[in-house]
Amino acid sequence: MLGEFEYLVLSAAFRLGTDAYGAAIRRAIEDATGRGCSIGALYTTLDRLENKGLVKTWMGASTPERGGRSKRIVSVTSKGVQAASSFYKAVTRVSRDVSWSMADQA
Amino acid sequence: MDRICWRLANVLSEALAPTERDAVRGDLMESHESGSEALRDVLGLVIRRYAALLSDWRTWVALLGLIIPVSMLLSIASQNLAGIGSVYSWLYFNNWDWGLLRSRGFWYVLSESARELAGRYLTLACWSWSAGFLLGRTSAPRRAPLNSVLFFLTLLFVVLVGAPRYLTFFSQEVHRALALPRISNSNDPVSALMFYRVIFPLLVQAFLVAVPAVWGIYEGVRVEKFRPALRKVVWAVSISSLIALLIQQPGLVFLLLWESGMPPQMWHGWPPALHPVVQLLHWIVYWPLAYWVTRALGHRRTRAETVLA
Repeated sequence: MLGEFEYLVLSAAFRLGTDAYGAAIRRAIEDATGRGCSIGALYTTLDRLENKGLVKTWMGASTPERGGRSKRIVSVTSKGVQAASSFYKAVTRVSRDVSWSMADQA
Repeated sequence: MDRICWRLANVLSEALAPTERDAVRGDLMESHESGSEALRDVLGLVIRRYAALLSDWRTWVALLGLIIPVSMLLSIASQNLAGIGSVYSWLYFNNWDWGLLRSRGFWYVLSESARELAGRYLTLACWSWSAGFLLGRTSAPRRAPLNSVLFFLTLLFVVLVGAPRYLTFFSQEVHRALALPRISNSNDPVSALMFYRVIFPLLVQAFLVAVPAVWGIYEGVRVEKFRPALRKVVWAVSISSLIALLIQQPGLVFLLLWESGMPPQMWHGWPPALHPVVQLLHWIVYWPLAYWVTRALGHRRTRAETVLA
């Protein structure tokens, strides 16, 4: 089963499609969670996902806004799609009929 | 302050693999982070990368099989040499008399002791360099910085815990138990002074062990660029050099071969049939000198060819 951050990385990379690379995934995660995403956590998670066969990464073209430096392109594999889908279904199932409103708890 | 942090982040990112370094620097530039945020991010990634290496069995094999034994041997050698150097320094500096300058015997002893000390210091530096070279040679390039840090930490630990002193104590106990000739103690008036007891040994360890070892690690990592035959020769002489270190330092199997615990001649106590081998090992210890000279000449030739071209 995926970890929480692994799911966030896979989801962000899948949504970005061909534009999925390190900085873009990081921005997407920060926008979605409202929290910072460290480069260290992102890159080590990408390595872990790649070792599990859930993503493929390669060095892409450089761009002027990156000072002529190349980017690490990320592509989610079919195995990665399955893993993310399983995680999403599991979270959805376990969250069924769960209300996170404090008023309901009282 | 921001510029300093960016500069530090760039320097720290050198510890990453080249492709990752490029990608990380590009990501940081694109995200328009402040210098301190960039430094924090890069530091976090570098720590994670090297922490992951610690969980690799090869790191522990290097630590237990090479780093700890070698740093212990070098520390013992360094302590012994610092002891000898301390005695001579104490004799000349702490007991100075201008009248000595008029004595021919003084100049004779000074030249002899300077020559002996210089030879021993050179031997220690060559051993340290060889040890670093072997460590660099057996490390993958990305592991070399971690192995260097482990090497220094082990050296520091050995010095702080006083392992060489404990080994000397152990050797004294063994000699006493086996009724062997007593190992003479270190010179008390010399070791009573903190400079000779603490600072001088640390200086010897820093300049004759740590610095040459770093240099050796750096060269050992680069040896892949050599021709295969030359790599084999370099591999053989560096191992031989460490064998020489092993058989010359007390505290191990060869402890009982020496009466005083200090090695006057390397082949003292060995069967005569082995003397040529041991004598050859004695000269192999200085192989780094040939390496340095060859590299310097090679650089000069390359520079001359570049200028001509």
